[in-house]
Amino acid sequence: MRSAGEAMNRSGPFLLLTLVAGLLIWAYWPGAAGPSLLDDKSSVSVLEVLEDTSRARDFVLGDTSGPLGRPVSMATFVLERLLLDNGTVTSKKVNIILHALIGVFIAWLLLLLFQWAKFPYAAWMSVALAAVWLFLPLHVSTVLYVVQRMAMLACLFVVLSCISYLQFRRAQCERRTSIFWLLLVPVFASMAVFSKENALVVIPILLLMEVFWLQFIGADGRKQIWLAQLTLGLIAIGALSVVLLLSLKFEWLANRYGSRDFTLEERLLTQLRVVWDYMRQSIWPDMARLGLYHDDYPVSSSLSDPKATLYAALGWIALVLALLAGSFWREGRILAFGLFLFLAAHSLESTVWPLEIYFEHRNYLPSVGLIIFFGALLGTIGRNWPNLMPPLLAWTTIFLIVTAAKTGSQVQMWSNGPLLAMNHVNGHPESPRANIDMASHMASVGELGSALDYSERAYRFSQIHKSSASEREGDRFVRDIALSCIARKPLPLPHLQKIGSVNPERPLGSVNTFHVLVQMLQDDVCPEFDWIALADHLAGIYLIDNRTHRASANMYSVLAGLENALQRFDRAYAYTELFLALSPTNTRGQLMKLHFATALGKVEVAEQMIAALQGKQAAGELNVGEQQTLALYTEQP
Amino acid sequence: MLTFGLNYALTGGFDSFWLKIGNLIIHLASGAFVFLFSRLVLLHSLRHTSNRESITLTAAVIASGVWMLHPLFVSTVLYAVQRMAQLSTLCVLLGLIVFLKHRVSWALKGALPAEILTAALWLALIGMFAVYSKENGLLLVWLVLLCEVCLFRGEWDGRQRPWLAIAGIALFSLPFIVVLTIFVFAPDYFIGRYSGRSFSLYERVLTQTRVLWQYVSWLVLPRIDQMGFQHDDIVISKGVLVPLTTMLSILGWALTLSISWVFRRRIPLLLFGVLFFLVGHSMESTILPLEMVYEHRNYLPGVGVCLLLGFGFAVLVDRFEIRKPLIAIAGVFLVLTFPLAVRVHTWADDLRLSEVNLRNHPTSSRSNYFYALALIEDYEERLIALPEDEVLEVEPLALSRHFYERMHQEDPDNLAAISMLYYLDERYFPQLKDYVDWLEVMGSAANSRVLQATDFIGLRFLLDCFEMGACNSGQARVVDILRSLSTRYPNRPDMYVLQYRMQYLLDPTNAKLEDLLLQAVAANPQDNNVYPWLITHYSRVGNVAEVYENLRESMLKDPARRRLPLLKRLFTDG
Repeated sequence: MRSAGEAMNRSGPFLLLTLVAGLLIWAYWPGAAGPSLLDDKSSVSVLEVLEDTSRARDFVLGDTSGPLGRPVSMATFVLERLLLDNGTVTSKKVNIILHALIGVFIAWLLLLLFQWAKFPYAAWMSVALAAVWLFLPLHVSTVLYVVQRMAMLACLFVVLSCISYLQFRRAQCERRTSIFWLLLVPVFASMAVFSKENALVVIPILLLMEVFWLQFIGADGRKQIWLAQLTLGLIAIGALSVVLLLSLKFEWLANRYGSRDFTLEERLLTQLRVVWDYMRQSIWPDMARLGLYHDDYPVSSSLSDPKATLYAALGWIALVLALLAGSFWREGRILAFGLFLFLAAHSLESTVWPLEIYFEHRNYLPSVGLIIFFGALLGTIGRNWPNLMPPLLAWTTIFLIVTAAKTGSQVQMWSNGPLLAMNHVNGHPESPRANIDMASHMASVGELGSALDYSERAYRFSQIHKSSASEREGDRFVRDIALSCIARKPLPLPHLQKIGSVNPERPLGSVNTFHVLVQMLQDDVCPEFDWIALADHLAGIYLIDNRTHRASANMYSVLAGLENALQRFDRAYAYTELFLALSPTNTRGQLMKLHFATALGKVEVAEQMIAALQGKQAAGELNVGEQQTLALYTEQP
Repeated sequence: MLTFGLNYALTGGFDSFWLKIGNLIIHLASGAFVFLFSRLVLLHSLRHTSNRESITLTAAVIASGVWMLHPLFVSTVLYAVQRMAQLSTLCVLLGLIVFLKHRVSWALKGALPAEILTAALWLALIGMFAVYSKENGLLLVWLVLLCEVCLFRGEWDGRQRPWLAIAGIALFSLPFIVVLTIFVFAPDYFIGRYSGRSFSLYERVLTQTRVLWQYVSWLVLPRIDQMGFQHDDIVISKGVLVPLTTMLSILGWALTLSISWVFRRRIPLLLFGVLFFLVGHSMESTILPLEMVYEHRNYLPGVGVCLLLGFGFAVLVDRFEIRKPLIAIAGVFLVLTFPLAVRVHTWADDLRLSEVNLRNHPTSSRSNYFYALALIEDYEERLIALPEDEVLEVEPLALSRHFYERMHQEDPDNLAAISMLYYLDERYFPQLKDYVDWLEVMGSAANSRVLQATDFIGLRFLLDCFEMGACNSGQARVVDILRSLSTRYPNRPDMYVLQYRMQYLLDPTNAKLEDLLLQAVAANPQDNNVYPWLITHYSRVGNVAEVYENLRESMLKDPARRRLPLLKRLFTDG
């Protein structure tokens, strides 16, 4: 009997973890049928043109959504495209399996942490808490949003980096060789950062883990002074660097908020509330509010507006002071680690950078900290009062079941485009994006009137909420034209002429919206629409002189695309000139100019462009796709 | 609901056989818990008795056996939806066992705070399950306090602690005090809830004093000829002396409680058993505006009575030194098994069940209604299966009509009876249409009738009849009746929906159809049941935008997402 019990204790948690992973995949699987969303189009759908390995490198290294290009994440999308089918369903399925895999590694991380802290029921606890993390409803909007694989991979490699460090430290304590594990730490950390830049937080996380959890303990149970000095020294250097950066570069940072409707100060104040909300939505979410669109989140303009900002600030001060005070005791440090990890993991995306105010996927890694905190709480109680463990584990199981049920329902919501759109509008009636999404659905069923109502609401709310970009009226009119095309009820000429009636010096701001409209022309979605009238009207706004202030470089590029689709190369050429005036060395602009110059028979200009582009090619500045395009003009027929 | 889901997952549907098997398994598990609970209670309360082991074993076996085999609980176990009451009882019993296990140990050796917290966490968990099975799972808290007051009386760490005994009594009394305070300062809180009932709070409380004795008599002497699915023929107590048995019942309870109190030290089980029964009934058989009698309400309180019966039996066995108590026990079980088998047999067939219900309760409106309906359903099923060249006797229909007539005579304004009589005459007895104009009867009843659940069932049946094409005359008069009812019940959305259904039959292009459904939404904006009608309506008229808008509204008013699978099917199945 005893051996059976031991076997159960040894293999039971592993079997349970396998079961949990299987259940998770089963619960999430219907979600794969859901729609592609927001950035899926710009980061993932572009891969549709990838036919073979020749241009694979372009896509792996060519993503522009982050400063480091996120090649690891892009490599997975490219592999998926080459080996599988690159459909949204497949991408979501890959995300689901990846999520289950990350859960398994989190269980491993928790096991190592709990074993280090000598918690009772370490294996069972780590599986139960990893299961809770896996089934958090907040993660649905990460797992079923294809492009957020970037955040998932970043989390995976941060977790692996932590596991490697823990293995290294365990081997060190057992006086075993541990170089292999130590080397893996920076390898995984680098992969994390090249998956998504916010994984840079792996450094503070590792340092915090040493200070608060491992507490510099060495082979004989004594404190390793050198390690303490090194760790604390690195923390001090890091903290000093942050303080210096903020004081010296504050203006620079503040100026980067030019494209936002809120200021650096407002973002910092708002994040005080947002991060509390993240915590609440992670643990016991308000299901109605869960979703992709939070561009209606009220921005704090001061500590007292809204008052919750002050309470949030006081709450953080109290919490951090309590954690620091508790850190004078060993068990206090163990308890504090999870919450500090949560804060550290939010330190990039939820502080000074001019990112949007609120996104749920930002909690994918930080929520591991919350799970560690609950583990530490349970383990500490279990170590001091073993009788309390069984009922607490039973409560944890109930929490898990309730959480899993909520996740199941959220996945069902995400498994269907119209349902998701309605859910978003219900949860966030003032979100411009949610209203735009709903407008698209109404247009797709031919209800133009309703679609235009939602479009108008989106415009109106974008003027009210600072957390969303204030939309230009011209962009709204462009969107309305696109909606009318989707609904197969093209708007009449007077509507087109509204573009530029307001803010004529810069009538359009959203390149994406206009790009969608041009795409419709290219795909011949809306043959009944008077495209020539639209193009003429826009030319009347943008081409009346050679001044470039009316649009961004990218907008001129899309305008050139419009004229190109209409085969009016002279105007396309004129727009490209404006594009290059704003961005003279842009390769895409140069290729466009080459194309239009050739079409117009401007041999001299074409030769100039070829020379410039060949220069770039010689310097290795062209990717494979650009080289192939250039070759079309340089190779002999 | 989770267990019903489990049933669905395991058997691929809601086959009543498997649902009832599920209920039976829960009943057996509860029976085991009754044994464990009785054993713990008896062991502690008889701890100073020399032969407590044998008395305890005999009493616990009898208590659990009687409880499991009792014919009264057939209407709980074989009525699928009463799984809610069953699970709640199961959890309450488990909670009491957990409490007693801990408390017995604390009485002897005391406890550290962590041990108390451990027990509290288990109890909270079990209590949560009990409450989420059915709200009367809340009784666990009160029953725990009952154990404290009657069985332990402040015993802790081998000594009596007066403060603990006083605290126990104070907490046990708290619900009485709270209810009394509300009643004194805000009586409308209770009285106002009776507006939808044909009896008042005063009448209900008085009637329940008799009903509780009725329950006791069924538990002690299982007269299956008095049992049934419906008990709406109970005579309402209009005053303390009307009927006289009301006064006798009140005196009976006063006397029982007094005797139990006087003997609380010599026979603590007596007070415990009596209070267990009363506390178990405190939610459903006192001040809440529920219907008067249901057998399933005894599922938990019956444990108290069975415990006393078991104890009494064991004392007799001990006193008379019966050497082979097993034979006596088997005899008791055998005696119970016979009525149990008869009642289970009755419940095995719909028609038989309705017939027996009616035989046991001939003046019950519902028994009349359901038997008559079962006769019609049986007739129509046979009619469908009938070969073309054969003719079916209409006697069952005549019998059905007779029972509806009787129901109508007992309760002339009952809309269900009138609707069914209209249906029968329209469809099967057109020659009788000239004798009574049922729509006129219904019209006058609709002016004053306090509508009950059965009335709505009848009205819906009437609308089904028109929609099926079985009823063909008087649509406009039905519209008038429904309009009149809507005026009297402006907050009932279903009245407008019924009007909509009728108006749609009269004229599907009527421009006012939409208004009726919008009025239904306005009648109770939180009610989510009108949206399927709105969605259907807009779908019929081809207004896709409104279909979407109402789907969205429907989702908004369904925060628990109960309709999500249905909504999803709308999109996936087109």
